[in-house]
Amino acid sequence: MRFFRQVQFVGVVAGAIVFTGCLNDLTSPDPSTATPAVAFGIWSPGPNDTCTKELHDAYATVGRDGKRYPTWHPATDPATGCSFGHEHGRDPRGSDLYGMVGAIPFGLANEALETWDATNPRREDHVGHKVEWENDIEMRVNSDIASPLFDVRCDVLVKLHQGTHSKDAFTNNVHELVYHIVCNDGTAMHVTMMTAIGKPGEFVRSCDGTTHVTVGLPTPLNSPHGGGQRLIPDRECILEHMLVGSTRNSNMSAALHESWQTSNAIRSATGHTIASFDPYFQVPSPSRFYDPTLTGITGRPIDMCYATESNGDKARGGACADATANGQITGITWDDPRSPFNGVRRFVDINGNRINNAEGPAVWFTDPYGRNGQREPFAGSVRQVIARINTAIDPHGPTIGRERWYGGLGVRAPN
Amino acid sequence: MRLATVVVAACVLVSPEATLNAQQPGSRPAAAQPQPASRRTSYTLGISKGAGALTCTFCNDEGKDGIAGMVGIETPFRRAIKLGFEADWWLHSGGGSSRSVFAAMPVFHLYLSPASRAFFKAGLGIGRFTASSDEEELRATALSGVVGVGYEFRLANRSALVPYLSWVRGTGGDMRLNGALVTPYGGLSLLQYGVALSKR
Repeated sequence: MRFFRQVQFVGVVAGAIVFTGCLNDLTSPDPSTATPAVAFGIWSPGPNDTCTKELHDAYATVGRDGKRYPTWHPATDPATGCSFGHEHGRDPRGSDLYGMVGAIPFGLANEALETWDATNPRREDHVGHKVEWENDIEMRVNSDIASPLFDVRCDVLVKLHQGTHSKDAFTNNVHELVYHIVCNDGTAMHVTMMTAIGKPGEFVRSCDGTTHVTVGLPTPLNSPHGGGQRLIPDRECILEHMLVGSTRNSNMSAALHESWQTSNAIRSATGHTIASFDPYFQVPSPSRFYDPTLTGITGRPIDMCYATESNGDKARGGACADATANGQITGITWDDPRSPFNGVRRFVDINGNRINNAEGPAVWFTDPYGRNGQREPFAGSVRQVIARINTAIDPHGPTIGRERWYGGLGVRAPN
Repeated sequence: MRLATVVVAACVLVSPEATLNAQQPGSRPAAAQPQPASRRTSYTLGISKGAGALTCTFCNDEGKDGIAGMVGIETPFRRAIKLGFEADWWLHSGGGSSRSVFAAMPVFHLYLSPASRAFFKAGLGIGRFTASSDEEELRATALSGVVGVGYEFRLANRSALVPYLSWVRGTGGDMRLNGALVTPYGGLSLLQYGVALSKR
């Protein structure tokens, strides 16, 4: 049986080798000599961060455009023990896909947008780039007949710019997404794009999932409408679920959970959808919520741990009680490493993956938004690699990363 | 279509009558001469327990028990070899769906000696795995082979009882879900063990 399985696998492996060749036809030049991208060198240490900017900028890689980008680094430098004060999620070097795709350049699609639409750039901060991955995950198949017969497994490596510490995402729906997936059924995608999540200028209140909260103008002003939505907590969520009467405890998951539900497509110049996928990115304890009563419209959950409404409602139990020792510890600010509201817990629902590319090339060049796909590169294009298949079973992925915690020495908001 | 052509051509090429006559250039026409038992065509009908499975690189290869069987026709070719044609099948129902395997192929039976009753068989043809419900159908059609062993307990009246064990395996075929191609590397497996009645 194993022999036949091996013989059968030869075709898939041969295809994978050809497909991998599409990814690795560029040798990695020395980052120190490459032209820095806009995203490079924008982080500087804060008062509590003990690592230097130079040490931070040493974590760099070169993108396909030949420019120097920041990339994943640990929260604490292993050589010196200093703290960067922020983290980028799971070390991608453990992913089975790392050998295929290498270090992830943070901001490559943003950089392409600087060329594609120079008057409407989208520049994102450094700390918001978050990596997650899992090897050999078991996928679901949306077919009652096929599901019990299949054992579809995938390696997934994703990176989303998901800042949950500032007012940015209250209005801005465009964020950089890197999505790598390779499955044993032949499904394979390596996509880098600016994904538009929901409508620009607004978000959806997380605690009811239906109220659209209009905030203001987005950046860039011509941000496209995207599928999906950004569920973000606002003051109403805090008042209803975090500040409560004496008969119950705060429901922090209802009060503060963020869910960025993406709906992504790579399309050809003719409008044909080559591939689509829709991972959801979840953050249970962000360091912000929308508060229109404040000048900066950005409320801080840790501040609400100390707040009491006129009717006596206040935060009770849970993270507030733990962080403040039931109110004994005062003065914890939003960017204090002692605050539990720092965005270090995250997880990703992989969800569906669809490819309709049997007639197309494995390599496409799209604009930064994943549209206008062509066979040859053009100014401001981003290279996408997509398997030459049509998926019939649309493998759906599970949640990954739910059990992980990316906090550590000195890690705090903004993170 | 190409596989079907191969199967038909194989049947024509191994046409037993033509082969037997070619072996005996001086003999009278077969129809005018009573055939010894060992020279007669035999017909076999078997019923068995079986386990069928869909196979591919992302299949769980889990075999499900079910009722299985085979029908065959064999005729002597050499002193210890019979050639024939065989069809194997398997059915399983449960959970609102049914699964089946059907395979058909030319086979040869190789006996340990001309007098032996134990034989080994092998063949190559085409097989199909099907899983279906009221709403969906999944099919894998693949080039398939069979190997097996059996033993003929001779009964009266030119009959034999034949316990047998056989394994059908197909690979490298199109697997389709509701008509859409899932993979070109689909396959099937059918292991069956049972008893057949063979009649000359």
